[in-house]
Amino acid sequence: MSATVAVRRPTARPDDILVAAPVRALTGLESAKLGNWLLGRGAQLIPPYAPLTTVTATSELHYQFRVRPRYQALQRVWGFRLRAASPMEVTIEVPSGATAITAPVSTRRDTVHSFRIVETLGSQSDTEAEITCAIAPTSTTSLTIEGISCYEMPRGTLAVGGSDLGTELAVYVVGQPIKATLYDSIRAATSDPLVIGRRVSLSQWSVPATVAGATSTAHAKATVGTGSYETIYSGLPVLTRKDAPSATTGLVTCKMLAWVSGGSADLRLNSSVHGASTAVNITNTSPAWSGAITLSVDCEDLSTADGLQGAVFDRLTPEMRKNVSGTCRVAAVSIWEA
Amino acid sequence: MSTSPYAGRIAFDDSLFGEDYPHAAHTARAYIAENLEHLADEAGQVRVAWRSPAPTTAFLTHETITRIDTPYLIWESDPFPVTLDEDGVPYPLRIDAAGFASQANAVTFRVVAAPAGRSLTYARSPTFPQVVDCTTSSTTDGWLTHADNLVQMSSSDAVEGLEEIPTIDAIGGDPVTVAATLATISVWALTSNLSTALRLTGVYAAEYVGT
Repeated sequence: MSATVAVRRPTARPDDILVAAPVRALTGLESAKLGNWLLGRGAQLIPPYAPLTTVTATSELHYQFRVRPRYQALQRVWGFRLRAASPMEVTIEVPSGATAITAPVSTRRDTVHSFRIVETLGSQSDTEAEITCAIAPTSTTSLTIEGISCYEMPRGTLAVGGSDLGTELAVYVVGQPIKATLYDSIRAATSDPLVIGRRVSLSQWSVPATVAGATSTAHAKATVGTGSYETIYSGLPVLTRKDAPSATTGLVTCKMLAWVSGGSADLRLNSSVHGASTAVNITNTSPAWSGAITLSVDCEDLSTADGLQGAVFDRLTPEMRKNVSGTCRVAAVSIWEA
Repeated sequence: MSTSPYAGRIAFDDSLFGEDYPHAAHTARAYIAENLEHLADEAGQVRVAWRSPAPTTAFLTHETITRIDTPYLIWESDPFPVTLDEDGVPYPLRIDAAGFASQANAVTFRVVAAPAGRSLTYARSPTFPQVVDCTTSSTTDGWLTHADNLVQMSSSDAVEGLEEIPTIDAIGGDPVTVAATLATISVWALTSNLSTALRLTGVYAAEYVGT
């Protein structure tokens, strides 16, 4: 059994398929290779971002992200970039609570390096879930977390059929018919755009809402007033995949790790092209993931050189509004393709 | 640009693939080959995405600049596995960057896509397709102006960044290796005035199938 995954993109060669002529096994084979490639190359779970968290204590910093991973992933590759005022070490856990790994931290900009940790999953799943990591400095030297990232390790081979949806390549034999069942996996993948090639994360921003095991207000973005929407961060470009040929938009889902000091607050997304989403109201007084905020944003225009529609970036701004008195705090914003 | 004639995925009825149906050439072409090509066109991932929530106080900057003709590193992403097209060339990356200058002098934020460990080479070569310059002289934070939205690594970059990475073949399975080309996005500082510093407050890079 060999549902191998190519490194380079194979091609399905649709021009080789002629109406009224049998489909050649080699053409079917190319389609199968492309299907395996699409399913097996892994997704970026956390696009590299700069948390810009600076601390001078040894308390453990807990980072939380919301993702809907791909089923095919077996391992996740985490990356950390840290910089300190003087040489030091930190301990890192992925996920938070796992055995800690000690990483060195450099001081000069030119010598900051990426520290890579591989997380092996206990089971495969494409269910939306929280993923976490924790960083604990070993000294009180000033430390800045300048980068966190995570991607799904590419697969070399997929399991044939099942939920992995790998297609056996060895059964495409010259001179033999292509049975309908040979297409089961590819058909399942191409009939649902969320199964194959999904952009698991369009953006991820997270700072610690929990420090040393307790809720912390030190790093979260907080409202400064009441009654008006305030920006969490401003105008990050967003483009979804294009699905149907006539599509000009795609749906994104967002959840925010947020809480209020009392009363209620509203959370929403604001697109520079499509306006604001319906708000989600929160009343929780300790950090928790909000309900889903959904919004249609620009999808890629495949007729243009850079994919932009009208040469303009659609820019997405997460916003929060505290109703009446008190404070709303947001410690994470996770946005993915619906 | 799309390699699928419809530039989109064509919805189909699953019953067309029933065991009692002959596998028509039309089915193979429209619903399998062309849909797969479209999905592959859209297989690019967002590789870098961040924006400071407090740009005036939370930003990244460089070491002290002593030469105006030398790029100074501001930030580099963790390595990520690039998507390789059929010819071995990585998908181009659509980029954007945000920032401002500490004083009202012309500054350049140079965005570089390169195999891990090779970004300095391209940072010194602004005419290479792996590089896009984002310029400003403003002391107010904002997304920056750039003449081109795409950076393009070469097939030789892909070879240079190729790694055989240890992994497993199943949950609880045997150790195997998988090949992947790892690259980074980095941002470099160039200033027209040695006393003017650059403040980086956002970076975006997303793979796009390109032309």
